[in-house]
Amino acid sequence: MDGLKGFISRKRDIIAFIMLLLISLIALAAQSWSVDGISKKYGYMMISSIQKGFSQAGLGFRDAFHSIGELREIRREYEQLQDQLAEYRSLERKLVDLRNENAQLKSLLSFSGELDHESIPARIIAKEPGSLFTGFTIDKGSADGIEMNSAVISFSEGFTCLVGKIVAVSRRTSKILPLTDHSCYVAARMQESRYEGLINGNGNISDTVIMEYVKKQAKTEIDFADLVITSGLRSIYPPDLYIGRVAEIKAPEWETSLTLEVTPLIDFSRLEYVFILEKGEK
Amino acid sequence: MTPKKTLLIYIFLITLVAVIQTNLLLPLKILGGRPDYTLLLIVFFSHQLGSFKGKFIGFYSGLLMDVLGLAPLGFHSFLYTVVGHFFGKTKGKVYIDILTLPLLLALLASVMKIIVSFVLTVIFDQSRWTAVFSVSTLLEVGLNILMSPVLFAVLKLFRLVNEHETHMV
Repeated sequence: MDGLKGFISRKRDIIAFIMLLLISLIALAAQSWSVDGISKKYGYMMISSIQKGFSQAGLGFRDAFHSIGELREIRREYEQLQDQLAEYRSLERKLVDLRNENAQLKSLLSFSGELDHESIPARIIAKEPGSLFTGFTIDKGSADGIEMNSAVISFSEGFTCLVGKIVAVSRRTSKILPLTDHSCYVAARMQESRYEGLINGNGNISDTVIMEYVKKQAKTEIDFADLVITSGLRSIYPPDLYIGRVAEIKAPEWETSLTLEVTPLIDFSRLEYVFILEKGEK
Repeated sequence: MTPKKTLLIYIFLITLVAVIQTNLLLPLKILGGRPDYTLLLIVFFSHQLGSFKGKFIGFYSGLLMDVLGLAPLGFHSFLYTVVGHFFGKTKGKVYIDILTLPLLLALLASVMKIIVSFVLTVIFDQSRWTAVFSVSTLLEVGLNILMSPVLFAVLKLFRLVNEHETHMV
């Protein structure tokens, strides 16, 4: 017994090292890269509120900092405004006209209103810092009606674009797996020629995603900058959401299908707000 | 400061940095990339606390990173445990000077991160291994090296470190 104790005492450093590595490996093997493991889920629920708190604190600091500058600016502007008041009175009439025009344009555009699904707006509060994984954390969770595997969209260049899907939900925050991630697959089709394929992310290493398994006969019908949309086939993503434009067409002799490089319509590095589609149509 | 207090402060600092690295520090891009602040902290703290505590700090911060991000549970905890263990071995053997040692330790830690990440991705998810050797990874290595003297100097300013504990070989 003393021998064993002595052995453990002597080798406690290496035993602890092996134990910690084993725990990590078992966790890795158990979920085999799944992002919704039970232990991770509960850990995430605890930590996410701290993460959200920091995000809000950051916004608070930023606002306070801006406020100091704004106060100086307001004082200077106040004097100018006295002189410009008369001019603004005439502009007021124009403003009313602009408001009416704006309301009309909004009703014409009203992107989210045109969607077949109800949507929940959310702000991105955190992003994956490293280059190996890609993911965002948003400020809405199960308390706001967010569900697992809901499709996430955003609007860019006048298109309703696919961002990714919800892969983890806590009460106040959720995680998004963007379509640029290696583990994200989306059933897609060419908007014009209607040929189908499978979109797979390329990670942070490239600005493009890959569309595979496109029939080789499509080569003559696909051109650069053609739009790629979701097909909606046996997928959690609704059909006709825009993904991106064809940037490169690869057709090796030995392959039975085409591989397309697609540039997403959304600039993921500058993405701030997203909409989470609720399951079931309106 | 007692070793227990020092350890608690290190744990607090590493938690703080791991959390703000995912949001507040995101806009602080250097040359279009971001250094791995958590990795640098683990290297520094392990060097101060030794291999035994270093690997636990590494394991804890890795677990935190796994929970906060989309990495599978166990990925960063494995990675940072290895870093904490090996860089803890430098305690009492090397003295962290202003420039040379921080640069060298950051380079070694970054290379170790790449190797361990590569091994884990090859075993568990082959689709990601190309990302391990991407341009952004190389940029991260460069930024880790660049930031290490600054970060280590700031950490020394906290005076948590007992300089008498470390000495040149």
